[in-house]
Amino acid sequence: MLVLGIETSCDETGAAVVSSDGTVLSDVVESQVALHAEWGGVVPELASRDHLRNTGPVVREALAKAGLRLDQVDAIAVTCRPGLVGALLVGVQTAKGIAWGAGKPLVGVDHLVGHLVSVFLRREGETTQEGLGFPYVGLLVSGGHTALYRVEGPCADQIHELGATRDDAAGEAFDKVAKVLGLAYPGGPRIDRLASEGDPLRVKLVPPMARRGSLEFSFSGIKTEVARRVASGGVPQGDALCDLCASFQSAVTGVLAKKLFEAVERERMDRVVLGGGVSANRELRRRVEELGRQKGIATLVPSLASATDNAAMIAYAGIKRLERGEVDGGDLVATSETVLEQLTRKGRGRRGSSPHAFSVPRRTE
Amino acid sequence: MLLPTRRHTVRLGHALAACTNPGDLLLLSGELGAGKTFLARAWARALGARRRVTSPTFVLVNEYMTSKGLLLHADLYRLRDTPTFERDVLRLGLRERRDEGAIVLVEWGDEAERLLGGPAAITVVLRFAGERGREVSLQGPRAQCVEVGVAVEQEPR
Repeated sequence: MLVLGIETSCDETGAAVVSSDGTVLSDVVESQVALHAEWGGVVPELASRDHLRNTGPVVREALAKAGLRLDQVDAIAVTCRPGLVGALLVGVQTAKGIAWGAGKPLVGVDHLVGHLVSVFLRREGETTQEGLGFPYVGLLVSGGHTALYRVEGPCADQIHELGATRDDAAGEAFDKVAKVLGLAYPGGPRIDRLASEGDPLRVKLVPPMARRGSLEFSFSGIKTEVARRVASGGVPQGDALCDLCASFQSAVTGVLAKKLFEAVERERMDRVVLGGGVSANRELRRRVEELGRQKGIATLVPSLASATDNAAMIAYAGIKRLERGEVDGGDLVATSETVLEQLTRKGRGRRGSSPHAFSVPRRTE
Repeated sequence: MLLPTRRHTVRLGHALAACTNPGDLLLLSGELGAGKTFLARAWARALGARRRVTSPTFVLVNEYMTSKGLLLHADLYRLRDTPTFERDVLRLGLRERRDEGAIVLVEWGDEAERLLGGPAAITVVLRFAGERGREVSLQGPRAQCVEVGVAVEQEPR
């Protein structure tokens, strides 16, 4: 099965063609990072306009790169949640139009599910990673999300949240701290680079929510602590800046890695999978790989292109829905909330009423 | 008013919720780390939001169902200081959602009061006050309602 995926949930307009075994035939990302760098962050309403301008060309390029005509793909998959509805709508309406015009089935995909299965993608030159399969503990860590999941399969109802951030996402903390320190956007890679030249022990920062037993995260406090230091002592320069970056990065990645393996122990799993843009952070990778080696746990990390927002993961997650006979109709809506269930604050039971699922799946032939 | 502990902030959240009505514009102002999102969470929970209340910085707007109708928790942090600020704020459609009865709670929204459809019922200004915790001041037509509420909450029972 060949599926065209479309992704417009945030700062990237993406389109990709992926086959059932995860082979990426094409993956086009119209990166808007250059546009946003000027303003020190992603500006989604700017993004929304750009999505509108980019979607057509990006879809055409994805098909051209895959060497396919539209009638040769089997279905259209599109990110329909979570995110800013205006940005999502651009993708959803485009996908509906293409699906209707070409007479192809349409499936909506939750962006978070895409991230959690992105490790299954095989791009040119990549081989399937050893030990890949279900179930696993997935750590999704990006600018908008930070959460741990028990992943039993590739569909939303097989994914169970184990813990999430109470406040800021890890990537958001990186971006805000970078801004406080006067670093350019995107903040994550810059902090990563400065940190590699610093001593994480010279500045003492309290590890965020390091309490044992809880799989929840909180990155608001450490952001505040850095802002406080800068407010009272000014932006550190030279080695002092590197040291502060190293301390901050060490505290954030330390707690991410620690809780990931606490989850592994609690869930009695033998593999972990990372996803989301922050999984590109070198120290996070190093820590997770090291702990994995020590504990005999397989550590699977997607390539950078698969970890950051992309449409290939949406196409792949869409394939997995289609393989179960699920398909959406013209009534597919863009929704700001994820379909994945959330834990209660205390980690017991589910929060609120059960989240509304995708529009009722119709069976395909 | 001083908020020495988180518990005091949560109490303030309850007092704020009691004075909140459908269609209200509510502004939260203060520096990075002043505690805006924490107070917003207390406020939202006191209004009856059951879903996890997290930072809206990345997605711009989070939506919650409450006992007083829809609550939109927005954050204009990433839209500030851009040449298209006005147009981008208008495109979020928050003004129209207010007209439909949604409560609109905005962080970093001080400069957007007009764009968000006019006067805020309550503006909360938070400031970090070192060892003493957070300092908070309330402005707007319903500030007094909140102050009375806080005073009642803090009376020994």
